[in-house]
Amino acid sequence: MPLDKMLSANRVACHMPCTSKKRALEALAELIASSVPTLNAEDLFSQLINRERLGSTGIGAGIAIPHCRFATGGASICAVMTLEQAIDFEAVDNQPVDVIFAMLVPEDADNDHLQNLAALAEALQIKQYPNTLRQAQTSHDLFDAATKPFVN
Amino acid sequence: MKIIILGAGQVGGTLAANLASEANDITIVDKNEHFLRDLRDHLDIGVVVGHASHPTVLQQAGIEDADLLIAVTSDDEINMVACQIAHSLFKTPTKIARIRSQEYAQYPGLFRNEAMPVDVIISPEQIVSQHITRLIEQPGALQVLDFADGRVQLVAVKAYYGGPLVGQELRFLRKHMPNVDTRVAAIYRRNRAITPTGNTVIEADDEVFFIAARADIRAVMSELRRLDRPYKRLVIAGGGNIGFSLAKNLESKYSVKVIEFNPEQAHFLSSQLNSSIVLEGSASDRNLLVEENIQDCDVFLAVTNSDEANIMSSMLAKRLGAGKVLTLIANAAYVDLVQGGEIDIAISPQQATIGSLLTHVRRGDIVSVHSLRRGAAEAIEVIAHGDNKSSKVVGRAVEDVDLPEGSTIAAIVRQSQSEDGKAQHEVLIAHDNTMIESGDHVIVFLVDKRYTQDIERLFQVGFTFF
Repeated sequence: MPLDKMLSANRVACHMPCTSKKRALEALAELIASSVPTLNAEDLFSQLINRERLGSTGIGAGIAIPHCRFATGGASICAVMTLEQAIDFEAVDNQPVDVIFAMLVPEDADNDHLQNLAALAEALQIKQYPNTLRQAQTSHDLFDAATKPFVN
Repeated sequence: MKIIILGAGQVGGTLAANLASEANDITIVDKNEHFLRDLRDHLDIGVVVGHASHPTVLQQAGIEDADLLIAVTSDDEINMVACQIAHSLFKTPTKIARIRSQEYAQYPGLFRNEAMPVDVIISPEQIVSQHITRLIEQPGALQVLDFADGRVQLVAVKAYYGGPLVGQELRFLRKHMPNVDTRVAAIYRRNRAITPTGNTVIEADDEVFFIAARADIRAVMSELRRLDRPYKRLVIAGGGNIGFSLAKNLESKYSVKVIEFNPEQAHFLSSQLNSSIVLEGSASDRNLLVEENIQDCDVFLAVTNSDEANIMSSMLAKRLGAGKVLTLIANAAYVDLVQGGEIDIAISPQQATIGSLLTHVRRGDIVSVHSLRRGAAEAIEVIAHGDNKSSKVVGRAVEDVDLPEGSTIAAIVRQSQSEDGKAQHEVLIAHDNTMIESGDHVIVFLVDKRYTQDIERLFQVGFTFF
């Protein structure tokens, strides 16, 4: 998966002080919108919220992968956020979440995008990877840590 | 879910009590400290004293983290402004406001994010009056709930001796009525729920909940009891919001008399209503009732805002010969006292209203929630999403869905496009081999609301759903 193309250094944020799922998704939408000027933060926020309503994207062990289809102009866009304090995310294991890895796919996304999502979920289930994300202290470190396993 | 409720009156208070038991984080705001203290004494909720639409007050209540704002103060304007502030300053995802005045409610274009950002408008008076209207339209029913815009109805009736199906196994229903499809969703016998199967025998006095297409309801009802004649003459006691909207809904099909105590309101009613007869006076005035031939009236509806007045006038009307009496009773303790005695049907405004709010609290793509049996049971309409992989219901037959105890999939409403592009709706009464598809509206009956969470989880899409 070409994560280094989907993620960028200005779409990562370390130890954010978000206190709820709502605020985390809000911050996430702002983070993504500020790095891609054509995206509207409010629309994105409401898309992410709507997707969560159908079922939480908290996959367990403190990790969530919020994702949705969005008018991204054909690209897949990722963002990573770690939280200062773990928050309730209605995750499958009911554990609080402190690593949030978002993925937007274009509205006409096909199977490739689904496979990217699966690859990401798989990587995050190997404990070491989310732990390196948690340990990162600066955006720079976080970006490096996030992209490392995907660099061939 | 973090929920903020504005207004600790009847609606707000009942709502808080209902939600507090469901693992929600609730804060309730009111300017009256007494109301709040009362609530906090017996519920695990946060309280904030203050003016409900002030940003600082909302902040104190934790609006920045809230998923849902429910503005049910007694002021339409405060409710609307609170939603506006929640939207503009705090991006609250879902905002519900009680709006009583039809002046605002009649302009749906007003309520959108660019104008007045209210996602859901609730008007308890409208909900109650629709609830009563459905009961009038299905004579003999104890309760009538609409699903999928009224295409399917869930009806509660009491089985009586003489109903062809009484004393028979449920499977005979099919034989009796080969052309009508229905499913019995639940049976209450001496107030205890029985999960119906094909060999369940219906006894007299059972309270039976069945689901069918709206057109088939009377046919099914006739299997369970002697049918009541369609109602003709109605007397409505109380011409407030509920009485007025009832009279307006019903006057074209029924002969309606409205009794209103307040001369000004009576005057207003007579100027607004077309064929209804408006009587100025007290509904508990024996002479007035006799003069107006109460013995000929099919249904007496007591809908003033006083429980006591409603109960008393209902009992009087019944003694004087009214066919059926329907009584609005807000105090739950009274409902237990009077229902089934002289009062045929007691209607709790809170219970009728609470469902429309629960709809937005529940997780998943929920279309409607109806609270039943004083909140013990629930009927839910939920949309199934996803596919074989991402959903636990889509692509499965009804018998293979892992339903929690005491719950039944009663019916499915499927939307498809006809050749000329119009949306078509197909009502499928659920049988064991009925397959569920993505986009289906599934109607589930839960005998015990404790299992609501399991239903939510069941219908939630898996992680891989985009």
